[in-house]
Amino acid sequence: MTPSSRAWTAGRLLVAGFCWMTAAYACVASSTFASLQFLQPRVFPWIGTFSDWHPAASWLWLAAVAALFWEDVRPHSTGRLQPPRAKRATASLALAFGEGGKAAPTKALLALLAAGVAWNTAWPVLPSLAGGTRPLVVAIVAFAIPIAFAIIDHIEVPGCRSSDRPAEDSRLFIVGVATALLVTALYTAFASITMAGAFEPDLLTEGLLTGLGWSLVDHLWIGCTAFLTLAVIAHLASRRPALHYAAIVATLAAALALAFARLVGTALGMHGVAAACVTAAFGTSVVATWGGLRLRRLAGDAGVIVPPLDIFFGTPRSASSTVRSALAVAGTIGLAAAGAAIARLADWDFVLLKAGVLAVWVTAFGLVHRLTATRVRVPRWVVALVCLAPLAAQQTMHANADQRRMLGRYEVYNPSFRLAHGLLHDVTATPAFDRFLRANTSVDAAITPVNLDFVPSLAPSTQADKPLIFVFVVDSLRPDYLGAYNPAVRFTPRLDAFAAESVVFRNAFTRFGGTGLSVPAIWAGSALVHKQYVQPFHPMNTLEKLLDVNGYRKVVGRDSIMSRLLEPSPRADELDAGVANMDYRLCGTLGQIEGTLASAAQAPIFAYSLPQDVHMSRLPATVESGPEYRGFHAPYATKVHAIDACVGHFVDALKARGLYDRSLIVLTSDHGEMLGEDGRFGHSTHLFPQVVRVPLIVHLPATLVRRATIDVDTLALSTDITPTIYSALGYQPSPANPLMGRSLVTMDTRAADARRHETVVIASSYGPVYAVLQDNGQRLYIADALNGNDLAYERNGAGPWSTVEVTAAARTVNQFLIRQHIDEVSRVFHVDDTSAHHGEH
Amino acid sequence: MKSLTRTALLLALLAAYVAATVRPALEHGAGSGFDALAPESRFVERAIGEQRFVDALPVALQLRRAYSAEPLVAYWLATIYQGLGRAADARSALDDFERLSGSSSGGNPSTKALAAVDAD
Repeated sequence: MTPSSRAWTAGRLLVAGFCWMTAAYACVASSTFASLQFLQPRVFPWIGTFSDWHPAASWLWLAAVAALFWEDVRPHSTGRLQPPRAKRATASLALAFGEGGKAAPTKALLALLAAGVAWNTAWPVLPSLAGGTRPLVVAIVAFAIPIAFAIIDHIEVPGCRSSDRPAEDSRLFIVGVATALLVTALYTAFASITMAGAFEPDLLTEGLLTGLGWSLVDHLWIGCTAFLTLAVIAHLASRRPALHYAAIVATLAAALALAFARLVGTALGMHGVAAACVTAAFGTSVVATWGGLRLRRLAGDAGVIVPPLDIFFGTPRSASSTVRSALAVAGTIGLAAAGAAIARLADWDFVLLKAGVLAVWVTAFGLVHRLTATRVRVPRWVVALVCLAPLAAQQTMHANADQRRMLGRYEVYNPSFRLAHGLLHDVTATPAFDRFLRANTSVDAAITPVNLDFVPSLAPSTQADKPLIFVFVVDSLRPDYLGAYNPAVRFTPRLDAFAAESVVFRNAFTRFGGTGLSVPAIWAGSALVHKQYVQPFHPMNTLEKLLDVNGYRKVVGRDSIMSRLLEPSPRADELDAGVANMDYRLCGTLGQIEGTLASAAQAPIFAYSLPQDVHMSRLPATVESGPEYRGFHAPYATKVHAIDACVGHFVDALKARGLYDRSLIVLTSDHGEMLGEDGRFGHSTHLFPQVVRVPLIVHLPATLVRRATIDVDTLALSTDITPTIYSALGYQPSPANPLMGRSLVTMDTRAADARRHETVVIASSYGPVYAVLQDNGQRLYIADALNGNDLAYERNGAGPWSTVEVTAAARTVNQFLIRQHIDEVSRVFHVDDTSAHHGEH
Repeated sequence: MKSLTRTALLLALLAAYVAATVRPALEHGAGSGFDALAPESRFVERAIGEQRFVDALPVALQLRRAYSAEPLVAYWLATIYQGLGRAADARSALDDFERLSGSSSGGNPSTKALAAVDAD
């Protein structure tokens, strides 16, 4: 196996791939929320397996590295004719390292890697990574290893470089423009296909033409920028091949690093010097590996001297390679379709979708580059005219509000336009405000827990009959998939029957978009400082304090969050013991709870679970669905239907035992879910109406029904659940600060009216994204400091949400309200300015 | 010579692209010099949050003199005057806010609450 063979190249890619996987794991682990919400609960089990087996796999990897570089370190020469520069490099190394000096760096690197692998075996690195800077250092090291390999490649094959002639910028011009046109056409066709059958009043003839026009201009802009950058480099470095090659490596590495920062870095909230080093290491690692492998391949073709750009994108093809070209075009189309399909199954704020588009852009550029003849010469005036066209268009085309709405809808179907338009037009309107949000989100500083209490000097309830309490927080359940909220739903008959016997709060919202902080907020009955997690949590855990003082037997699923929130207690039984968090299923859990009902006479029971039945990561890709699911996301709706039957069965069991009228049953969710709206699926750092609205159905014990005063249309928050439970036990809960919830069953007219006029700030659990809810939940303003934009929505009553223009006045007022909320959080939780704002600048 | 002309043309075009790309960011960054996160600004907002309107007023007035075109300062003043029970001043500051921000905020519940001061 020689270094120029395909097998050797594939082996090198596998070796580099292992390093990149390790670095990717470390990047994810650098984010506290991602570590706690994805890695530790093993949302994707194969990632956990990778971490578990990483030390053992490292030895295999080391063996592969040694085998691949054996050719370089064995004592005799390969006999390959070396170009003069290579000879000089070899001579220099011989001087530095003695006999066999050329192999010395390789040998030293192998020794270093062996030591690293031994270290990783004794002290496995990946499982120990959880937030902070250390994972980023690990990522930099992992990215650096392929760079070291690439340096060896360049030492081994230093002579295979030559500069483009300046005249060849004509070829570059054709490649840049043709790539832009190809990508525009490809994704226009893609949009037409995906749009088929969709009802899109904004995308009739005018909307489609507007989308196509902007798409063409944006793609041409990017194509011309690529052409001009590479052409200027070629002109300025035409007489210095090494400099030319280095400049291209630096440019490509910078472009990849920028893409990494915009996509992955933004999604994971990576900021600061260490994060910048990671992004630079990523770009350099990929480009250097790419260049090194191509040089090795080209070195096998004796005497082939190619321009630097051909090293990366291939040499021009002869007419005989038509079939290969056709296959490459088909492959590019397949890549575009596969990227979009994968992104529909699991994505995080379009990271996969956009990364797929980027891969298509690069592939298309390489394809066109290989297909373009080298002997064409484009006149200067044509170059100037074509390059000025998108510039002029950008200056003259100003989308009005209607056109912006059309473009927003067009983005849903054209992911390449989404990426291009975002790169060129998403300018942070208020960078200082965004920095402020980032500084006060996912606070790293240690926070001392404060005491939160709804009742001063909490004593056991004097109420004779303590209700059984069941709290079911169905992860990601949307209210509009329940018949109690949406008359079009025909697949939740048992839940609808349960709702008919309960109180349906029609206007309920979560306090945090995302499980990570939403669940703690439910237990605390309060909005919380943005930190996962303040430890010990017990002083803030108003629900646990209530249960303990009243002698409740707690039957709780101790998932990765609950294990941080609850105190160890002899009166606690674990639900779903031994079951992975993401495998919690409501039907199984309810069966276990039924098993505990027999003991309800000895001590009142409190049961809590966070079932994952409808979580996006647990939905099937497709399902056999009947007509009742038409107009709904069928995989999700079928899962809701499955829950429905189990809830019905559980209610029957309670009734059969005569416990139903003694029970307080809360059915809610920690947040909603995007099910294709605006092309988005799941929930991540973002906040949208579909993410912040939750169902809240509360079955009250008969004793409470008689004395309750309820307004089901008033704004209800997930932090109101715990004070409502206080009311059910006969307390009169009183919030000690504006962040704490209110009881929903003792809300007189005056209190309900006050709540209708209250301003509530909602936060994403995982990123600096905040929302302001006003006008009794009829207006929603969202400030997204990750993407540097803001949005506004309105609705009329229970009607659908519609987007509205964010005026300067609205932005000013809402940003002020968000700052006021963060100040309030800082006051209540004693967040020191200097500790919270450590990363502000 | 031809090569030089072509190089110059390419450089000029690239410069135009760079300028057009960074211009929006520069335009956003170049404001009146007012900083909502400066210590004085944060003092005013925290004082408003803690309902220390008397403390907030002189600093807010000082900021209005320095940044007379800044709508946020006008909004602070409207809030402060409302907290102090000075309805006419609150109404006037709210008018200033809408004028300076160039858009009506009449539908916004927070400004509606301020506007309702007149009716009290």
